[in-house]
Amino acid sequence: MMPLAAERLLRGEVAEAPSPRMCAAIAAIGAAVAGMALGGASGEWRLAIYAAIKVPLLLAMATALCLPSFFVVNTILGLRDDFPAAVRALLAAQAVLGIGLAAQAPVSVFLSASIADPYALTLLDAVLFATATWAGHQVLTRHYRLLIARDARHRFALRGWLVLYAFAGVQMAWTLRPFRGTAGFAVQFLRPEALEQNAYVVLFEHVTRLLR
Amino acid sequence: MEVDRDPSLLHTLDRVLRGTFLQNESLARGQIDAPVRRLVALGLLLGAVYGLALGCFAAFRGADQALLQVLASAAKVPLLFLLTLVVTFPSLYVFAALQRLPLDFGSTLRLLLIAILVNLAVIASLGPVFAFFAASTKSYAFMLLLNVAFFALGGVLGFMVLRRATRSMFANLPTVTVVPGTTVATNPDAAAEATAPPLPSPNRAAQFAANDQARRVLRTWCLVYGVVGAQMGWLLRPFLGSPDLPFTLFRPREDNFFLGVMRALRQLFAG
Repeated sequence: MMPLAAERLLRGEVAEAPSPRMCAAIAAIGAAVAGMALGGASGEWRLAIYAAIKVPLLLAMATALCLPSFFVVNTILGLRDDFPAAVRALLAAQAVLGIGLAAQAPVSVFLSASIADPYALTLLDAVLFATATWAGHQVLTRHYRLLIARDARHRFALRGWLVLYAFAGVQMAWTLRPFRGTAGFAVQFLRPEALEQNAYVVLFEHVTRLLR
Repeated sequence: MEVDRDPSLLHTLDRVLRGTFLQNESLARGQIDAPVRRLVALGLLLGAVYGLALGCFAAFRGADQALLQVLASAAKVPLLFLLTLVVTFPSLYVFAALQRLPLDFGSTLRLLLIAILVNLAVIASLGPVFAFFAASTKSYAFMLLLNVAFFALGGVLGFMVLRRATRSMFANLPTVTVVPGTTVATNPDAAAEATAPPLPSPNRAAQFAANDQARRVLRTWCLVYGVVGAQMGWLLRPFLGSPDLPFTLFRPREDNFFLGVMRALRQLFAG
């Protein structure tokens, strides 16, 4: 049932997309598999479980945070009647993101087994996440092509969604660290400083340190 | 005339966001049939929602008297919009009437209330994102700038609604008989002529000129509104509550909004 639905998501046309509930389930399971691969790399079973919870949580919470404004913007643009279709498009994209993450889990395990440098691993994790996001984006555009053909203002709504989702998603990912666990650190669900650091501020600090 | 019979506030909000109050037919008559009291109530409510999200920063950072700060923020956001409107509305009305914007006093007020409500709905819907960042960020400068960005975003969308309304106001505007020396904003015959056949070209040209001028007035007003709003926000500080400072309802007056934003940027980038 689920593999068939996943196949339909990847190949199928928009009209054949599985139900929203199925999409959400696929996204959650795919993300959990990816999380398990990340956390399991430390050899600590608790981290594998934590990460298997946290990656789906990351996707779900980032989506939930951004949905209210997506709804308001769609309504203001006069696209309210298409809102269910737009949400279906987002869910299908999330499901494909999950599938992409799960499909890359073996790569992630292979990388963990062959690379020791934690910074290189973090960077490669980001690359894997980015490619899975790209896969999700393909399906999102496939859905949105129809919507944009119906009303060009959908393009604006989509761009707004992408910017806000990425903005909140990056901070959410930063808050939910560690996904991989670092040798020498205690096994924890969240870092003690989880609710202190802002990803963008940290990034600014790194960049300014580089330029100094 | 369509009367809003459904008493629920949400229904009114829905109609504001969908733009049903600003449909061409009623705009061309120079009328906007929106319930003012309900618009104001909705504005207070939505402003309070975003104010709560703002107050989250004080609550999560354990600032001095965090609960008071949350309540103060929830009260201050609606106040900010209300006061800015009070300060800027009279001058807008005078200049719009001078440019023969085809809206009477009440309808101009309703149009602006609707645009402000759109602005407030946008920032209220961004409230969860703000609250999440407030929960996970220590940097005061970052939160301050995020707040400014969200307000700006809401302002831009509110402005879009206003612009769309002025455009459709002139799109099917009937002949306006211009009497020199008067500043009558509406034409009593407008409703009767609304279904008249296409206008002859000289009138069309005059209409385009009027359209252009009225839009310029609205654009200028939006700029003034934005600047006054920003400075009003500065006057009503603190909204976030700096974690290092004790709670006060209002801060003493010092420099201005733009200097404040520059300072926050410097703090963020230079550490």
